[in-house]
Amino acid sequence: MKRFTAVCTSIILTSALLTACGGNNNSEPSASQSATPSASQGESTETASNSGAAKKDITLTYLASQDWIKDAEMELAKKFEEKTGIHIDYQIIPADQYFNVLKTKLNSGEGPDLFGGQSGKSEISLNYNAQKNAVDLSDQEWVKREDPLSVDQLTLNGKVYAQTIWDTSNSYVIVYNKKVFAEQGLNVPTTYAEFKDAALKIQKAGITPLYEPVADGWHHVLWFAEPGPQYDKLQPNLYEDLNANKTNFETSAPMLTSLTQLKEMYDLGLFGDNALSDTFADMANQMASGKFAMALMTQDLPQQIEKINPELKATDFGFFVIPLADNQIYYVNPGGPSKFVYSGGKHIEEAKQYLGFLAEPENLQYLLDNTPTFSNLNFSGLKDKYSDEQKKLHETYPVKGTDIQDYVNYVNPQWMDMGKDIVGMFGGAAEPVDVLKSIDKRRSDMAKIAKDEGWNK
Amino acid sequence: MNKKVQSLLVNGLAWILSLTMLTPLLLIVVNSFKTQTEAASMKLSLPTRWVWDNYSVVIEKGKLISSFSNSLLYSAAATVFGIALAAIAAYIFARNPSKLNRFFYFFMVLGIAMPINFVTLTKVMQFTHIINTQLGIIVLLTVISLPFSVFLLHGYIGSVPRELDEAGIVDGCSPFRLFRTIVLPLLAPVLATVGVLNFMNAWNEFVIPLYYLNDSGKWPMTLAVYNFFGQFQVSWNLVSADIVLTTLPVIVIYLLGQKYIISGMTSGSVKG
Amino acid sequence: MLRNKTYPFYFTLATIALYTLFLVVPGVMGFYYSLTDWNSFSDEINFIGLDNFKTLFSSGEHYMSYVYNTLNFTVSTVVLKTALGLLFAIALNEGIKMKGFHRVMVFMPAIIPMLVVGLVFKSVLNPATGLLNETLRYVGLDFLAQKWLVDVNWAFKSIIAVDTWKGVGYIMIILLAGLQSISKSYYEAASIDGANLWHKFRYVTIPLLMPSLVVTTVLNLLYGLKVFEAVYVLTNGGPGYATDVVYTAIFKEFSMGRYGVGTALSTMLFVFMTIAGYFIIRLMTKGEDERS
Repeated sequence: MKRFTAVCTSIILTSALLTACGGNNNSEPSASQSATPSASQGESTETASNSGAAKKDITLTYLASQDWIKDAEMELAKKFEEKTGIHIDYQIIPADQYFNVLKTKLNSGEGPDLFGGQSGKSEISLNYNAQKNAVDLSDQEWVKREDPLSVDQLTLNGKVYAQTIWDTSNSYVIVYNKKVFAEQGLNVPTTYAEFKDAALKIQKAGITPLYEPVADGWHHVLWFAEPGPQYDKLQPNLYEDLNANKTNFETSAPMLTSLTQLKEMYDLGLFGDNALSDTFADMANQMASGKFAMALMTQDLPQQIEKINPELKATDFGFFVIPLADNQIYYVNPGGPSKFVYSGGKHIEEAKQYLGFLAEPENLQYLLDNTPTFSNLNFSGLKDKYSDEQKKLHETYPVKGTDIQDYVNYVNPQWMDMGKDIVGMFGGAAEPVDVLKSIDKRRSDMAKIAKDEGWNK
Repeated sequence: MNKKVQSLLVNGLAWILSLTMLTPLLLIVVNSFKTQTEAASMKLSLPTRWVWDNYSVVIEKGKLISSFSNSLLYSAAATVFGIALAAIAAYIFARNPSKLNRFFYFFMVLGIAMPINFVTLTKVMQFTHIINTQLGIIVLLTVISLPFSVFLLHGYIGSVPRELDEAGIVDGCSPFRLFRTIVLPLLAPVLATVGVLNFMNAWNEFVIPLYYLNDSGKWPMTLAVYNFFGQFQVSWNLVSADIVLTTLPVIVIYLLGQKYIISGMTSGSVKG
Repeated sequence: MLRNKTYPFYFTLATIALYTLFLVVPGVMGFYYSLTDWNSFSDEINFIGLDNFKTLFSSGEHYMSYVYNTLNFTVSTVVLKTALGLLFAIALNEGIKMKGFHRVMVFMPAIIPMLVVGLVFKSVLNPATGLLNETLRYVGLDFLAQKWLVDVNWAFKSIIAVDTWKGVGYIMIILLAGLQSISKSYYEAASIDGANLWHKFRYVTIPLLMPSLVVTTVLNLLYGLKVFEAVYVLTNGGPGYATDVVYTAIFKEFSMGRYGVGTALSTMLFVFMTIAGYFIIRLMTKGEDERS
C-alpha cells in the first residue's frame, strides 16, 4: 500500500511538474517587467532580457528590514545591474516582523541570497547561526578598509561573516529644540534630575516633552541599553562579569535605577499619551509639527525636520546624551545593520560581487553623500559630513564607551523581547526588577544552548 | 403605524450596517488621493488637492500586475484542483461506504482540525522539490482546502438519490463517465459554494507564500502589499493607493459575480 | 462487489495521497519532534521525552495565557458572529428596500484579505489620529476614546471586533440561505395559532435553522482555534505578550529556532482540535440522520 501510494504520488507530482514548467514561463515576463528599473522602461521586455544575455541574467534576492536599505543603495543596485546584468530583488519586511520571517527562512534552509541582520558576536552566532548560514567573507578586499571595530563585531573564530556599511559614530542622542529650551530658560541637563525638571517644565508649557515611538518594539529599548558605559562605570567590571556569568542583571543597582527612571518618565506622561501607537517612521513628521520638544534619534533628524517644515531650521536643534542613571558618557555602537551572504544560496559569487561593488570607495562616498541619515561611514578614506552641532557633541562628551548590546553577550538577540517586557512595565504588568529577571532568564537559556562555559559549571 | 415604525427601524439598521462596512474602505479611497502630509492623519475629509501621482508611483513600484496575475493563477488553479480532487473522493466515500472508505473519509475529515506544522512541511516541500515554485503554492493551497471540501461534498452527495446512478449503470457508463456526466452536474450548486469558499481562502492566504516563495516575481497580492507597506510605511497616501489598486479587481469581480456568489451560497446548498 | 466496480477505490487515491503527503506526514513528523530537543542551534536531535510539554505547562512561561487567549477569541467570535449574523440575516431577509445592495455591502469585508484589513484598522484604531477616536471626539464622546490596540485591556477586544467586522457577512449569507429554505407555511400556521414574533422566532426559526447554525458554528470554531493572521497583522501579539494566541506563539517558536517546543505546542493544539472536531462531527452527523 505504502509503496503504491508513493508511486502514485510521484506520478502525480511529475505530471504536475511538467505542466507547471509550462506555466512558469508565462509569469517570467511579467516578473521582469515589474522588476525592470525605471531607466529601461521604454524598452520592451524582450529586449531587456536579450541585452542581459551578454551579461549575467541573474536575480539576487535580498531580504531586509524596513529602514536598512537606503534609497541611495537602491540606486547603486541599478548601476550594478547596468554593469553586470545582475538584478537585486529587494524584499522589505516591516520591522516588528522581520526577524520572525528571516529566521524561519534560514532555519528551514530556504534563505534569500543576501539577508540583512544586526551585528554583534552573540547576535550573529545565536540569531543567524552565521557559521552555518553565512559565507566566510574574510578574503574580500574591502575587509581591510572597514573599521576594525565593526569587523570584530562580525567575526567568529577569526572568520568575517558579514559586511557593515553604516554610520557607526552616529549614535542615538536626544535631539532637543533649542528655542523651546530657551523660552523655558533651560540648559542642557547633565543629570537625570535636571532632565526630569526640564521635561516637566516643557510639559507645563503645553508641549509634549518627548516623541517616543514604542509601537515598533525596538526603539524604546535604546533608553535602557545605550547608557551601558555608565552602568559599567558605577559598577566596576560589570560588562566582563556579565559575560563570565559572575553577576547578573537582576542585582545591578545602576540598571535598576535606569529602568525605574524610565518608568517614571512614562508615568509622568513625558512621552505624551500616544507613545504606544507612535511609530518610528513618523518621527520626523511629528517633530516637524512642533508639538514635541525632544526625541531620541540619530543626528540627522534636524535635517529631516527642516526638509518637512522649512520654518524649523536644522540649526534650531542641539544634542545631548541619554541622562538616565546620570550618564554623561558618549556611547558608541560599532555595529549596525549588516549584509550577509547566505551559504545555501545559488549565487554566492554574484552576491560577493555585489558587496564588493558597494564597498568601492566612490560608491561608499555616493551612499554617504546621498543618504541624509549618514554623516560618516565606517570605512577609511571617506569625506565626512559632520555638522557643527555634531562636532560640538563630540567635544562636550570626550569620554566614549560601548553600549550594552555590543559588548555583553546574549543581549542583542533578545532585543525585541526586552522591548515587550518594558512595555509590560509601562503598563504596570511588571516591575523594573521583573524586566531584569526576564533578561537574565533569556540570557541563561541562550547560553545553555550555546554551551557557554560560564553557565555550565 | 406600527408596521411603518418597524420598517423604518429595519431600514435604518440596514443602512447603519452597510455604512459600517463601507467606511473603512472609503477612508482608504479618499486618502489615496492626498499628499503625504495630509494623509498622515488618515481623516475621512476629501483631499484639498487631488493627487493622482500616488497611483503612478504605486504602479511603478508596487509589482501590481505580476502579483495580481499570480494571485489569480494560484487561487483559480487551487480552486479547480481542489474541487476536482475533493468531489471525486467524496463521491466514492459517500456511494460506497465500505470499511476502508469510511476509514479514509474520517481520516480526511480529521484534517479540518490539523494545524499546519510549517517546519516539518518545509522538509516535505524540499523533499518533493516544489519549494519556491508556483506549483508548490498551488499544491499547498489545494491540499489545505481538501478536508473541508470533502466534508461538505460528502454531506451533499448523500442527499442526491442513487436511482440516477442506477440508470447510468444500465446504460453502460464507465465509472468515470457516470461520475462526470450524471453526478457532477447534480452537484453544481454545492460545487459553486465550495469553489467560492476555496477561492476566497486561497486569495487571502498570506503565510504560505511568505514561507514558501523566495522570488518576489512569484508573489501573490497579499505579499506584494505587505512588502509595499514595509517600504512606504510613512506614506499612507501611497499605501492607500496600493490597497485600492490591489483590492479593486477583487471587488469588481465580486460585484459582477455577486448575483451568482450570493445566490449560489443562498440556494440552500450549504448543508451539514 | 458490484459496488466496488461502479465506485472504484482508486478514484480517491490522488486525493488521499496528496493530503497524506502534505498534511498528515508533516503532522506526524511533528509528533515525533515534539519529544525531542530539536532546535536550530545544534545539528544533533536528542530524545527528551515529555520535557517540552512540561515547559508548556510550567508557570514561568506565557504558554497557558496563549491558550486562554485562543479560547477567549474562539468563544467570543462564535457568539458575536452567530448572534449578529442571525440578526442581520433576519433584517435583510424580507420587507426591506435595497435588499441586494445591503447584502453585497455586508459581505464585502469577507473578500478583502486580512492583511489589508489589518493595515486599514491599524490606522482607524490609532489612538491619536485614528478615525474611530476622531469621530468619538467629534461627537463629544471623548471618554469612549480608548487606546484600542495598545492598551492591555482593549487590544484583544479590538482584535475580536475587527475579526467580527470581517467575518460576520459570511456567516450572515449562510444563515440567510437557511432562512430562505424555511417554508412560509410554518409561519402562517403559527400566526393562526396566535403566536407573536418572539414565539415564531423561538419555535419556528431557531429549530428549522439548526442545521445552518451548526455549520456556521463549526466554521467559526475551527477558524477561531486556528486564528493567526488577525492577531499577527493587528498587534503581532503585543502589547507585551498580551494578545498572543497559540498559532502566533508557534510561529514565534519556529522563528526562534526552538522547533521542539514549537511542535509540542502545535501537537497540543492538534490533539485538542481533534477531540473537539470529533464531537462536532458526531453532532452534525446526528443532524444528518434526522434529515434523511
